[in-house]
Amino acid sequence: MNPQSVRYPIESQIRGREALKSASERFPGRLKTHPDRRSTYLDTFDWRLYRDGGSLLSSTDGRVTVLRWNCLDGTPVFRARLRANPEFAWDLPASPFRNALDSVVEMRRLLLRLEITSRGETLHVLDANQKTVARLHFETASATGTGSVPKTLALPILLIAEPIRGYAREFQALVDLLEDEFQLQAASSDPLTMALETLGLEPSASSGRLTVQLAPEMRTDEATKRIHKELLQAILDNEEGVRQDLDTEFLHDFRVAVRRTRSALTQIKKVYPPDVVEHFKRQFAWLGQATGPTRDLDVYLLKMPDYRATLPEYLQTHLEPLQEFLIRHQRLEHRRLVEDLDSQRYSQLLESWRSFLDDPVPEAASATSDSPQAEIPVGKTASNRIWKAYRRVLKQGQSIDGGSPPESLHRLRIDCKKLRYLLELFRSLYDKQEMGTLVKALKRLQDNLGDFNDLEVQQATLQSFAHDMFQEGLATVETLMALGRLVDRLESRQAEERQRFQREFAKFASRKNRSRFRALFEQHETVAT
Amino acid sequence: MRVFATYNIKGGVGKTATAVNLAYLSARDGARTLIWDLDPQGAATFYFRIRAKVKGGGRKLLRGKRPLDVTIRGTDFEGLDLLPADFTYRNMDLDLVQSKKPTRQLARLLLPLALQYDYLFLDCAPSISLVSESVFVAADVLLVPTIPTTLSLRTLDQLDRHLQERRTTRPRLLPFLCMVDRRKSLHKRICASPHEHHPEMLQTVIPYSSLVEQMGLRRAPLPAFAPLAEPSMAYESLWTEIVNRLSL
Repeated sequence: MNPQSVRYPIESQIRGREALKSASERFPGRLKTHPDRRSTYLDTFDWRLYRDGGSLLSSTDGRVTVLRWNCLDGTPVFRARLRANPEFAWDLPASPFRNALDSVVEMRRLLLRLEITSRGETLHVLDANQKTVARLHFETASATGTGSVPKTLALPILLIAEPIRGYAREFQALVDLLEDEFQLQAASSDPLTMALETLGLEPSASSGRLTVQLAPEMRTDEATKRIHKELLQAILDNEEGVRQDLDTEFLHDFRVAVRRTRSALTQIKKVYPPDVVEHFKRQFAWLGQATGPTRDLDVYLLKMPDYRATLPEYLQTHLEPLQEFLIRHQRLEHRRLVEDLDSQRYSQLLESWRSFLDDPVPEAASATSDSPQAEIPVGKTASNRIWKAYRRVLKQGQSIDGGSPPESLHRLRIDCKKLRYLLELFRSLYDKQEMGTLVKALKRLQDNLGDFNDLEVQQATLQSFAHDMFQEGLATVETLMALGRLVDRLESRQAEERQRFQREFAKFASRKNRSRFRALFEQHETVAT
Repeated sequence: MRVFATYNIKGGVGKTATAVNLAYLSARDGARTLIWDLDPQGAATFYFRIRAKVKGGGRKLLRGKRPLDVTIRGTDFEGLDLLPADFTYRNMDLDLVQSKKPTRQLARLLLPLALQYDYLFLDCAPSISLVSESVFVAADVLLVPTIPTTLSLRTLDQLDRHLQERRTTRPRLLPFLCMVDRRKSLHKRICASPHEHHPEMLQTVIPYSSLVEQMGLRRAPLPAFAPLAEPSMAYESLWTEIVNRLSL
């Protein structure tokens, strides 16, 4: 309905100035030079806003910061005036802007991703009343990436035609001049994408999903090393954010990468020498444990809004001491975690792991017989492992009925986890759509089992928090009551999850899914294990 | 979309200055804002340097024959659009009377705008008529600039009583004192305790200032060309007070 600004790359500053000058002779108006303007693109570490099709641009005049959330094509979505850049979505004042931002970035910190410095001139095209009816900007700009080694590069020089609502004719005349007489062609990409391309940044690079591409005929040890290398990179990518505690997801993704590393070590059997597996299994288990306490506290802090909403209003404020308790202990645990990351054990672990992964795979690994599966094509190994893990899940799940003890559900949860890791590690070997369907189905079941387990752990943990808080003199009677109410509520929610289990499992084990698994993974020739 | 109307039965009390300046501030703060100049004199339209002309005149617009959408014009300020006045708006009463439920017609026309804008300011012509009745139906809030004189306060009272008598939903009345001249003892007395004159009377007082008159010369909202001047600051605090009062 309303035309958007059109951006035209132009080869030189001289041509740009000339074009602006001849436009100003054609259209009555006012030319204004503007000095250097600095603005910053904010986004999360995993580029959630960009991947959602938008950009969050902050510009400041030193006094006021204006935050603009636009679609990539320039359509404005939200705008706000603030004192400073928000660090999280919840730093914005309560508004539709905050709610929408929160739903996209959630708990992730808004990092300064790119800085743009621009200067130029603007022709304000005026009508007889000196009213602006269109604008033509001539702009030269440079982009600076943030990161360990920030670099600044010049962006394409641009002429930008900006329409004003209700003055379509005047805008069209301007566009005609640029396109027909000056022979300019509109830019094909939006400003943020253009800046990212200039800097050679790839926003999809850190989205948490494994991107390693395997081929079925590849040797299993070679494929496993590739998987492990990508996971090592994920650990390294997130390490700095973990150290600085920028937001909870750095540690979360760090831990996921560690768990996947261990899972690939133990689930893909007999491809590395046993002493290697044994050593690194132990080392990564240590790293997993070292990061556990901080993550647990992070999770409880993330749950606080939900906890508050669970309670009647008069008890809600009495949860404040819990929040303080969590924050204090999280800081403590985080400091310990950083000590672990600073330790020799950690740096040696990564170093020796890296050098093991960089070693070329032995020519004839099977011959040495300590890694007999190393040379088998990874396609075979993957199907074999996934099929086994899947059968296990089915068998374990089918043995559960309404009277089974909670332990049986916990066992099934672990089996599901193993299956999930295998599906994710080997995703690239199979049909994308089919894998998507199966992972989704499995995820639903896992959510149910996860919640069931989680709710139980939460009850126990909150009770022990209550105990600790009482001893630390943090808990009033009301706080203890609020915690009691909360535990009650969690217990009944856990019962609901238990109720749901049978239904969820039946869905997962449906005939359709079973034949999908069979078609993808069942192998008719026997593979020695 | 929340609808504000700057309204007073009396003329020359600063309705247009209020609508123009508050709409400007709301847009500056990031809200998508539209101002509809309903006054056939077209002062608000003039302040934004836009031609006071609607294709097909007010009649087509009010009968829904011509969508409001295509009539809207962007001002020189980001996030602030204007629906221009037209001299045919002087016949708006007649145009309205011919539609089915005349007092609801205006509200009906606004519906398609609800997703495009956060705030709409209706700048009304003085008088009490079918048009003002339509405004009472369409608006969520009536902003009533009131000069601190006995007669003005009496008119405010009349308006208040008139609204109380309405059976249907009525807009919230938010009066405030304006064109206040601190040299006049009556003004000073009335301004000492604003809410005595109306329970919802806003605390902010807009002083009399020749700068407000300069809006006609500069043809721009006051905070746009004199952001630090006393009356600009007064409009700033008025807008802040309104936002807080309504918990927007």
